[in-house]
Amino acid sequence: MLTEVLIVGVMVGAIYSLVTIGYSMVYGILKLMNFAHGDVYIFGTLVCYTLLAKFHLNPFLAVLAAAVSGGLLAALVELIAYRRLRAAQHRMISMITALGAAYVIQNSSELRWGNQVLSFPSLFPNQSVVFFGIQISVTHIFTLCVAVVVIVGFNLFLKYHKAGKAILCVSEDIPTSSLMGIPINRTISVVYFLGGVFGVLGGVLYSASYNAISISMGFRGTIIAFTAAVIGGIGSLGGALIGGMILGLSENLISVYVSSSYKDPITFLILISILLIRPTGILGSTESGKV
Amino acid sequence: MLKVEGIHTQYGRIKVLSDVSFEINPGEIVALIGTNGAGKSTFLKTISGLVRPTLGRITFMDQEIQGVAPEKIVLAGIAHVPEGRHVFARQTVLTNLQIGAFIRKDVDEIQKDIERYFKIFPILGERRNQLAGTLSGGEQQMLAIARGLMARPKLLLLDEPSMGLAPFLVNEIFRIIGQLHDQGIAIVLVEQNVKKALKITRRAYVMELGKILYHGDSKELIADDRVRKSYLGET
Ligand SMILES: Nc1ncnc2c1ncn2[C@@H]1O[C@H](COP(=O)(O)OP(=O)(O)OP(=O)(O)O)[C@@H](O)[C@H]1O
Ligand SMILES: [Mg+2]
Repeated sequence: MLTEVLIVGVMVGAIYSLVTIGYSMVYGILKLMNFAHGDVYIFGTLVCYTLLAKFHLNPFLAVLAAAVSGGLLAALVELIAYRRLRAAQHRMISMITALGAAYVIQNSSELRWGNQVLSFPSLFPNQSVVFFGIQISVTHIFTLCVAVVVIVGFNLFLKYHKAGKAILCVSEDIPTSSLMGIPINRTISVVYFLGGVFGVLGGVLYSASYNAISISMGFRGTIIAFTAAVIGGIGSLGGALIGGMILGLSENLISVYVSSSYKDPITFLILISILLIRPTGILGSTESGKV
Repeated sequence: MLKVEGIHTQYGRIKVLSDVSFEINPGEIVALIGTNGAGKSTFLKTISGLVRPTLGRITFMDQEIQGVAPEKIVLAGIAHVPEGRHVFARQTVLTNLQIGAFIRKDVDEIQKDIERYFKIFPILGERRNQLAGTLSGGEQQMLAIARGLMARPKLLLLDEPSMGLAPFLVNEIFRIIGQLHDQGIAIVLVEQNVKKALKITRRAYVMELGKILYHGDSKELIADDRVRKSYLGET
């Protein structure tokens, strides 16, 4: 029993990490609370739903198209709602447009898909395999694999690819990066795009493993990303991973062993306790470990 | 090669530069001196595109570049090594140098240049895989200069390269600046170390309160009473 709960927890944690990466990266570069993050990835996940359930598209293509649509929407939000405000003195101003963007996306999605819970098709065969006497569902294994591959791949990209290194430099120091010839606007668009793509991947994996999706998961997604990012240390990629894992594991352990109605209060208790001990989050600091 | 004509620059409503004109020829090294807050860094930032002039014209190799984005100005051939080093602290020494060559595509040549700067600055070679933030101030300054050179600029803007360095390192930095000049790179040198700056250059500009007070032969400036009093601390 415990092993199974842990496995599901790790899987959900990996999904949360995916959702958190984009949110945390944007904060790392622009110090902006991207309130629209959750709504963007739910939009992409709903696109995936339509492609799968209504058009019966090949799942791989459907997920790809949905991820790209979420990425483009995220980049568009940056272009329209944030870019011109980057030079503004008060970060509060772009936070307000972020909130505005969130409402626009949420309400437009609601017009198209309604606000009821839709049944999301499975992506992987509904079977389970037995490992050392423990029954594990194929969906959980695949979901975990996809999440891990994406996260590791992105990490390698940041470390070794020229464009990845450019992203890291921009997140450290925008003016100096521009002196190196790094195109700042384009790099920021790429960050938003990737954040949207990873968010949609997380949303699709989550919805597919629970066979459910609804608009309201968008706001919840933003809260999860915020909480996980802050627990792990906002702006840090490693922090997004750790924060996502802690959140996924604790939610599942609490739901099973305490009660699912205590899930959120206890999660926030964890958040507050970690912040009391380390105000910058687990991996957060002003100097090291930030994306 | 670079011609600045009557530029005015301000931060919001604070006027910093007014009617500044300046010129440097290919391969020349020119000093820009002035007290704290005179506007020297703002002047370099206006050339490299970090701030826009409200008025005036900047021409670099027959191209007007005032108000152009910094990433385009590097492409045109101007590298700006900013005051206070600004190395990418969370990246390795090697990554800092590679990012300095961001605009270049000639991978093999980039690698050769890196090896070359590891020869000129041996300490950087020893610390190539160390995070730049863990280097000493002097090492960071060398890294910042080498990183600027990685773009293979035709014109190098150096903002107080000897700031905060021990005397023997100051000499070292000036020796390297001399070498760069010998290689034919044009250099605008902003320096608090006025004596050394005037010795290494032929021409110099003196800036006060956002204006060019005078400019001329470095040798004559060293002998000038006003310069001796204000900048060399002599009476
Ligand atoms: N970002 C900014 N916003 C507002 N004012 C600024 C800004 N940067 C510089 N200033 C002001 O512009 C003036 C010139 O600053 P600048 O840094 O160009 O001087 P400097 O000659 O380089 O001085 P130093 O020798 O101390 O480096 C100063 O009065 C400074 O306070
Ligand atoms: Mg200065």
